[in-house]
Amino acid sequence: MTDETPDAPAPEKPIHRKTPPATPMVQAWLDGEETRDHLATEDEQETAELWTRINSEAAQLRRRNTPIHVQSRILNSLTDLTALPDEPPAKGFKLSTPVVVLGGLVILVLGAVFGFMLVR
Amino acid sequence: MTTSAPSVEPVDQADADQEIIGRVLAGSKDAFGVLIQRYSDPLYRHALGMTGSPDVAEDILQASFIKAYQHLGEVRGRFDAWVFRIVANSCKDWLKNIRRTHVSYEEDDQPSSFSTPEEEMDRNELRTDLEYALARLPESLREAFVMKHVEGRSYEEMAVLLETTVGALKMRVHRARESLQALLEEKYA
Repeated sequence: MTDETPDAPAPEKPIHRKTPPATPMVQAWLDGEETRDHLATEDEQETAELWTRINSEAAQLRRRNTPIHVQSRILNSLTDLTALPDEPPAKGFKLSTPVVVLGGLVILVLGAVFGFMLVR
Repeated sequence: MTTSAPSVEPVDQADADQEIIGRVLAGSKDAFGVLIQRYSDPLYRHALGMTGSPDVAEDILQASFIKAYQHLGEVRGRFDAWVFRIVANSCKDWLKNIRRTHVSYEEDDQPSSFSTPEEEMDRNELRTDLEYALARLPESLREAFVMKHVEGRSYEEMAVLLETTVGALKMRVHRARESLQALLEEKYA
């Protein structure tokens, strides 16, 4: 709470009035979800005017394309390189499929024999 | 403003990319040129929007495509989303490594579309202010703003590319707008 005297001089009017912040309706308009007709207040129209200018500039940037020499520069830089498949050959010991199947069968038979002996 | 944002990449385009990737992995280096031609413009615009420098954007684009080429066999899903993430991460790495106090498109060699010198001067001032303000946004807000306003992407497409939700992206874009407006309005409101 402030103790302001009644006859204190009124604050000076700012030279420049800040543009009102974007309301949810302005944000919705900028997102393409509402039309500008839905911006009811003067403040919203003022903010919309600012964003129209910003968007106009952004649209200029959107038309930018890759400089023509860049694509060929990239292709030329690939000359000594190779595109690699995802899985390089695995190093070290690796079991082949028949060996894995045979091993599984042996374990199964041994398990059955041991089980049979235990039951007896 | 209602921007006509490009829709999310159609499935048949992704299939076409996969077919090209197969050819490249089989040894056809030239086939990779098709992918470069297809995606370099949107990727360049992203790098340019994020870095503010045409030279840096070119370098990031080149390094990203080289990286993509060397790791092409690792592509899972859409190539365009995968290569976008390489470029986006490169931009973030670059931003982390440099403290930008001024960004400029003055090196721009694109032809001007302004009708009068006065109009061009006004627009150049606005552009400089916009770049200045953009450079001061946090990375995630800047990325979201550039994708939405500069690249003209839909929230749905952004969500696919950034692997996040539409709601989270809307929040980022809204915060970016608030911050950007606060930075800009003193200049030309």
